[in-house]
Amino acid sequence: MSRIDVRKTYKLYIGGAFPRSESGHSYVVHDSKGAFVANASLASRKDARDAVIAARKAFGGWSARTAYNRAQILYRVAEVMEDRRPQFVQAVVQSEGLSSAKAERVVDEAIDRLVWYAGWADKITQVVGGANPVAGPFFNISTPEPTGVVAVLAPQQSSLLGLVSVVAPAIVTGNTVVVVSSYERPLPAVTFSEVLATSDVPGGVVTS
Amino acid sequence: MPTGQGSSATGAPVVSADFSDITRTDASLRGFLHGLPGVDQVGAEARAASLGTRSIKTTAKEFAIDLAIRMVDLTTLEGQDTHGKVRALAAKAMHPDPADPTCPMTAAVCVYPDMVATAREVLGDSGVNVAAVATAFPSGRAALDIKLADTSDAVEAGADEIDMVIDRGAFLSGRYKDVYDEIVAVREACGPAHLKVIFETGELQTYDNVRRASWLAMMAGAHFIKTSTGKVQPAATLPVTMIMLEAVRDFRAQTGQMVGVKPAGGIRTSKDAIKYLVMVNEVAGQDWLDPDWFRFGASTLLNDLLMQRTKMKTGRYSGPDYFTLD
Amino acid sequence: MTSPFEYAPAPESRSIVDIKPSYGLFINGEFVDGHGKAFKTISPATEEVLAEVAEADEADVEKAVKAARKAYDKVWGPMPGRERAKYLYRIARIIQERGRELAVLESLDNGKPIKESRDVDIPTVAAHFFYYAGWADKLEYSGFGSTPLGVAGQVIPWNFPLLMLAWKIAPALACGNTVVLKPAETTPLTALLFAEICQQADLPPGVVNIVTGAGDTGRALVSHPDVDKVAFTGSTDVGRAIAKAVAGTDKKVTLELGGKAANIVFDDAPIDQAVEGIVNGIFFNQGHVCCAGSRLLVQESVAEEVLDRLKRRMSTLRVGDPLDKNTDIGAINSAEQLARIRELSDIGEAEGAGRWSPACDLPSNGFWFPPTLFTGVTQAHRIAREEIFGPVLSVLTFRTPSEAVEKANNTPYGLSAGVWTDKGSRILHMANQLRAGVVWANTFNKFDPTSPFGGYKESGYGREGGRHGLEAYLKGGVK
Repeated sequence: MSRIDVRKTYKLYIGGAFPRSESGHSYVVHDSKGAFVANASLASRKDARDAVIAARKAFGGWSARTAYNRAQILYRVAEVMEDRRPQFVQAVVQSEGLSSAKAERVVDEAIDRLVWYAGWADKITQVVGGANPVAGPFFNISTPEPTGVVAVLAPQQSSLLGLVSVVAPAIVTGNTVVVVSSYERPLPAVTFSEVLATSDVPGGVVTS
Repeated sequence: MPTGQGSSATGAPVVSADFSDITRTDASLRGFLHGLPGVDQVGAEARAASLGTRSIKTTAKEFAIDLAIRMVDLTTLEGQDTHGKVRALAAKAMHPDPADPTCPMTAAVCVYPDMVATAREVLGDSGVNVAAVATAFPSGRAALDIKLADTSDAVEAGADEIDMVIDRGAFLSGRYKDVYDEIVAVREACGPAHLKVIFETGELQTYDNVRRASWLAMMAGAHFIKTSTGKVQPAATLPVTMIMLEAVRDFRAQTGQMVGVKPAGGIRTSKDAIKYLVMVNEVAGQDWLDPDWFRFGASTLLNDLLMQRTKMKTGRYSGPDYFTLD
Repeated sequence: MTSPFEYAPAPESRSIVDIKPSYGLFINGEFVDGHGKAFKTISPATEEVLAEVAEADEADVEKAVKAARKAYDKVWGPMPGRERAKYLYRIARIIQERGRELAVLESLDNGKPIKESRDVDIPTVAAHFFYYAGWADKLEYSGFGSTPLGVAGQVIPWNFPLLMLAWKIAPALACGNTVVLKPAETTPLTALLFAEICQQADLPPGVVNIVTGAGDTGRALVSHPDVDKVAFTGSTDVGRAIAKAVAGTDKKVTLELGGKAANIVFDDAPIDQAVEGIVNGIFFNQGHVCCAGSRLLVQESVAEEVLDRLKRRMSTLRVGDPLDKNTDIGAINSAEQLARIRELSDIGEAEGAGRWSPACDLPSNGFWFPPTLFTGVTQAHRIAREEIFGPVLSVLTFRTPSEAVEKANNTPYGLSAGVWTDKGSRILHMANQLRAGVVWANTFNKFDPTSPFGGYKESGYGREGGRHGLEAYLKGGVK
């Protein structure tokens, strides 16, 4: 008798934990060919509120970390993603219907993009900030600061690369985010949140 | 016991300091206290952290652990305290490790005033002192006559040491004279008992305030200055204690008088305690390495010290069941 | 007076480091024999021979430069920045992973206390690689273009062996250059361990080449015609010779040379922290720091109080075994340097300055000098003008802020300065007036990869660190 596989439950990611929707709702996720893949949690308004509260709570600590520390953590996310590359390739193939070779390129690009943004943490201030030579005996400097909690509506089509491209710049500069992942293609986002949860990203920095 | 009089660092005759010009009015007090050198927060915290990296091993660790046990004010300050609990605590203070007669006693037992008689009864003349918190501990929000009554009550019941709280509201609003007068009055109400003055540094917030409060209390005649009640977070920290150790060091350099320091609250492990002792040694100096001049206000710390002490002697750790509950 | 609380020895274990009996040169990704006369590197704390190290002669340097040129033309130059970045991130990570090993080796070979190599040097090295890794794919945002220079010849000193290596190699590689680096002859071992790290990171051969040796090797490197860029950190005398050697060529040069920094304490300073800053300013790394706060300028009204506190604090400094975790001051790096410190200190005494050191037992073997201060020093004393590069502080006084500025700037050097005051506006004013590349306020000797570092006047030219540090390794930079 062939082995019966153990299927994964896809849940929300809020404040460092993986809860189901408080509403008890889920919806069916299909692969690119229309076959059943999983029941994903359908987040309610209350879940969204909880997510924002978690993100707000995390903002103070995350934005107060040194840029160097945030850079290292983002780089760590890239490391852990590289480690789980085959899983991401499979998830992208499944949800976007790409060939394996194309999906590999998408995943590589997503990882490299994280590395690119990691490097910005301690450079953005040097590139866009600076001393302003005001005409008076005053010292005047400008420095970019994080906005706070950022609501991210992730691209619908690009389930992984699109997601990484909108989340990374927000968190590397000290914001915390609440992500609404692609409705049709949510599973890579859930897997990505598992990477975040195991990469020293504090709970609540990213919730989805 | 502290005498309030130490020999000065150089061995020269003790100068009796006269602060009467300074302590006359709020304005004169403010002028003096705000004229003390400022504290740079980043620098002070870096220095405290760097002292915390000292590595204390073998013989030095043995010495430190026994010293720390002798410096513990074994404390219970809960609404649920009972006479039974206080008796048990007092017994433990006298024999922290019943299985090992070489284990030293703690310095004192610290309780609320209504428990002083019970503690006194158990401790007798064992050498372990009875300390009582007083003056509407922990908030200090009561009229002066009530605070003084609270104090005399504890002293009459047999307290050797009184741990008072300052009026933080008065301090933060700049009414330094009120704070000063209150300490002077409580010290008088203490009679023969020794006075520890609690600042509640978690409420004073800045290191500048901690330094000012230290001088205010020392000028008012405190025998000890103490960080916290244990009821407010943060309680004792290394940098706050360092600022206070600098203050007693400078006070002795100026007046010849030694004042003790007591961090209280949040010190739970031997490792923490040893960091404090390193700081005492290197900031105030070795003269303060004595239960007469340095105390730990703690409850759970003692068992960790005992566990480490046993580990040093036997080479292995014992589970918590091998150490008595208090 | 002995304290009852004597700290028992707390030595860091040496066993983490596997020092080989002999080391070759690292050329084109491999360790090869050198053709010069091999030399010994010793532990300055015990004079124990640690290893024998190859000396690179002209032919070896030629080979190294050739390897670097080839790697630049074929591999590293054409490689996209984002791929270069990933190599640098790898190196940063391996340095973090092998941090304790590097720290122990650095302390053994250099003599600096383990707590410094462990808590300052090695973490800063990793941070430097991490920071410049991030620039490799962002050069178009640097403001200096994104075209590398080619092959860089780099010569570094013995005071921060691995950190100076990082300051040189990280930005060079990030910008797409390849390097030939010569570590100091008394401290080559961590650079050779770094070569191993390059191998572990699978860095393409020839991108980093390490040639060991002394002055002759360095001369061969900087004067090699196929070197496009010379970067040097060390003494002003050698820097001057290098500037002469490359004059008239199209080599780009950056020099980071000596210093005689003023650490200025105003009467409203946070005194206890200022005392810490003075101690950190001059006794950090045995005073072997080009930006050391070797001249204390203290306002007369608080001079006595500051000195009393400083002396008390100096009495708690622990001098001894660099590998003991409680050591604050380690060994002087070499017999030659010790002789220089002794000579200048004796001159200070002969010129009438008051010499003071706390009582301290110095080990009988190795090279040691107690923390020392001189009072009654004026701008006319040699110990106020010449770089001693040791744990020796000259104390001068001033009366007004403008006098402090004049005295601080009255030196041929201009690398760093410190200002201690509770008054924010005074800090900014002083920073503006002081002719020093770095001005620290209420702190001293703090290094961060994001912050550019470099000197005015005889302290050199060019900046290392930060966005500005890229300029020295890009064609878009000022020539």
